[in-house]
Amino acid sequence: MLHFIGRRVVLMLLSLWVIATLTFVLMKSIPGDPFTSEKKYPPQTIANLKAQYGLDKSIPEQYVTYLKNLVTFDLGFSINNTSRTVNDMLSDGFPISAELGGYSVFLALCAGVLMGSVAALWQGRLPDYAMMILAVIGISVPSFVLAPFLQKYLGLEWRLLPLAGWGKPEQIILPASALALGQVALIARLMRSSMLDVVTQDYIRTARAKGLPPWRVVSRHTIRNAIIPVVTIMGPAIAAVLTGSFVIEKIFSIPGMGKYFVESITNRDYPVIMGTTIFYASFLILMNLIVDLMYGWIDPRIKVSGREGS
Amino acid sequence: MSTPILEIKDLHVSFKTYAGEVQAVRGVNLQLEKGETLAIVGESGSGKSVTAQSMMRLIPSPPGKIKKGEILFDGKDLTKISDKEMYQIRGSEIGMIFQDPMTSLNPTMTVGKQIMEGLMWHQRLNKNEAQHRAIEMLRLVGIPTPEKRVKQFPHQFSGGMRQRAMIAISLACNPKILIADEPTTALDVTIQAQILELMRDLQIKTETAIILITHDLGVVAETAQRVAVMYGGKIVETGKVEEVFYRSRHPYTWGLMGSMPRLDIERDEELSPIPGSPPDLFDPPKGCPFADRCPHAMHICHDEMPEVTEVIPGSHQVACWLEHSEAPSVGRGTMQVNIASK
Repeated sequence: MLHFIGRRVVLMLLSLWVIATLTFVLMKSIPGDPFTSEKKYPPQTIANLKAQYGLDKSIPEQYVTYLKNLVTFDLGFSINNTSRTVNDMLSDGFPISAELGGYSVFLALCAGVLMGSVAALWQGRLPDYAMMILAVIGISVPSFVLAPFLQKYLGLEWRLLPLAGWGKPEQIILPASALALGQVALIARLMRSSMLDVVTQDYIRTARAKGLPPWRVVSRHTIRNAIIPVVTIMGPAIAAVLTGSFVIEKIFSIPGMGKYFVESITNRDYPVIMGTTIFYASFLILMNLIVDLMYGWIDPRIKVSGREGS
Repeated sequence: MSTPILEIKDLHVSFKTYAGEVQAVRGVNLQLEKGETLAIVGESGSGKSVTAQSMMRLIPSPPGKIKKGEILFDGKDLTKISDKEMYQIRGSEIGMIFQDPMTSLNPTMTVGKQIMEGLMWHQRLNKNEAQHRAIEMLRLVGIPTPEKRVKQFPHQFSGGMRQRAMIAISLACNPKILIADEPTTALDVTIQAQILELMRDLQIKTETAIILITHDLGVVAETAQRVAVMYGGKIVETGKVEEVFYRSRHPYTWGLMGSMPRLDIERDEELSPIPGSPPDLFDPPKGCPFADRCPHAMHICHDEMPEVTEVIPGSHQVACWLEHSEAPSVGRGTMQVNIASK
C-alpha cells in the first residue's frame, strides 16, 4: 500500500514537471508579453520592468529560475496586480471554486447513481425512458447554455433562486446544478448499464434466495457492485467540473479561480498562468490518486500494490 | 407413507421468447419426504433446474411463468402466496445452493456478512449474535479458523471453500428443505466428494430434506434415497435409488445407465450413448418426449403420453407405454444389445 502510494507520488512529480515545461514552452510561444499595450512606454521603462521580473535573461535561464521557484512553492508576484502574490490569489479563489466544484460533483454522483438505478430497475418502462431522455439532454446541452436558461426561469421569471453572486447557501444551487448536469447524465447512463449487468449475476440470485426483499437486495448487493465503473469516471468527472467552472463562475459572477485564470491568459500574466496551471494539474493528479485508492475500498478484489503479482 | 413436506402437483412452467413459448416444465408431480434426499436427474434442458427454481419462485420473470399447478409446502401453495410471504419462506424455510460457487457469492461483501444477512433478516438477530452464528456455521461446514474466515472476502476462498460457505449461508436459518442445484458440477472430483460427504453429514445433524439437482448418476448413487428422472419437461421414472438403478423400467433410464462409465464392466466394452437429441420444447411432442430416440417406440408412443404406472405402489413409478398389458416384453438387456449392434 505504502509502496503503491510512493510510486504514484514519484509518477505524479514526473507528470508535474512535464506539465510545467509544456506550460512554459507554450507561454513563450504566444506572441506578445505582459508589457504589450496600446500605450507606448519609453524603452528604458520596459527594459527596467523586464529586468525586475527576470524576463531580460535568456530563455533557458528563465526556465531554470522558474523551476527553482516552483520547487520552493514560490509562485511569484502577479505582473498586472503587483501587490498580490500568486499564492494569495490561489488561497482566495480556490476555496470558492472548490466549494462549488465539490457540491457539483456530489450532486452529479447522487443524482446520477439514483437516476441510473431507477432506469435499470424499471428497464424498458416509463421511468427508464424518462431518465434516459433526460440523460441525452444532459449530455447534449453544454453548461453555458443551460446556465442562462436556469437563470432566466428559476432566477428571473419565477424568482425562486438568486440570479448570481456568492456567499449565501441558496446562491450555490443554480451554478452547481448547471455544472453538474452533464456529469449527472454520464453517470446515470453508466450506472444504468452497470446495474443491468449486475442484476443478472449469480450472487444476486443468491441474495434473493436468502429471502431478502427486493429493496434490500438492490441496496446491499446490486448498487455496491454496480458503482465500481462509476468510481472509475470520477477522476475525469472532477476534471470536467473544474474546467467547466471557469465559464460557470463567469456567468454567475462567482469570485473563484476561473476569473484569475482567464484574466491571466489575456494579460499574459506569466506567473499567474504558471501558478494556476500547476496548481490545477497537481489537484487533478491528486484526485485521480484518491479515486484509485477508493477502488480497493469498494472492490476488495482489487489489491492496490506496487509490485506485480504480490 | 407420511405426509410429504413438499408436494408438487402438475407443475407447468413456460418461458416467453421472441421465437415462441418454451414449455420447460410440462406437468411435474413430485413429493419430498421429511429428512430424505431426492435427486432429480436428467440431461441439460430437461427442466430439472427450472423445477427447482420454481419451488423458490426464483425463475426470472418475465420471461418465465408458472402456468399451472401447485407447490404445496406447510399447507401453503407457493405458487399463489404473496411476494411478502415468499420472502419469509426463502432462505428461512427453504434454502438453496447453486452450481457455480465462484460467481454465487457477492465479491464485495465479506463471507461472514453474507451469512449474517439472512439471520438478521429472518431471525432478527443483532450483529453480535449473527456473527457468532456465522462463525458457528463456518465451523459446521468444515472451514478451519472460522473466526478469521468470517472477515474475509469470497476471493480469498478456494472453490471448494466457497461452496462450503454457500452451504453455510443456505443452512444458517435451519431450513426444512435444501435445494441444491448441481452443487458439485463446477468443482473438481476430490472436492466433489468432500462436498457430498459434508451434505450427507449435515443432513443427519439437521434433518433437512434435500432436493439434489444433478446430471451425475454417481452423485445420485452416493447421496440420494429417491430419484426422479426428468426428460423433456416431464418426470419419466421415479423411485428409490435401488429401484431406478437396478430395476429401471423406462428406456430413457436404461439409456442414461448405459451411457455412464462403470468400473465393473469389461474394458473393451464401449459406452453406449443415446442416439439423437432431446425434443424441441417450443413445440413439444404430444406423445412421449423420448419416443423419437427410443429403440422400442411403438406407434402409440408418438401419439399419446403414457399414463404413470405404479410398479411398486407408492414408490416406483414409470410413465411408459411398455408397461401396458398389450406391449411387447423388452428388457434393459435388449436395449444395450440393440444399441451395441448399431
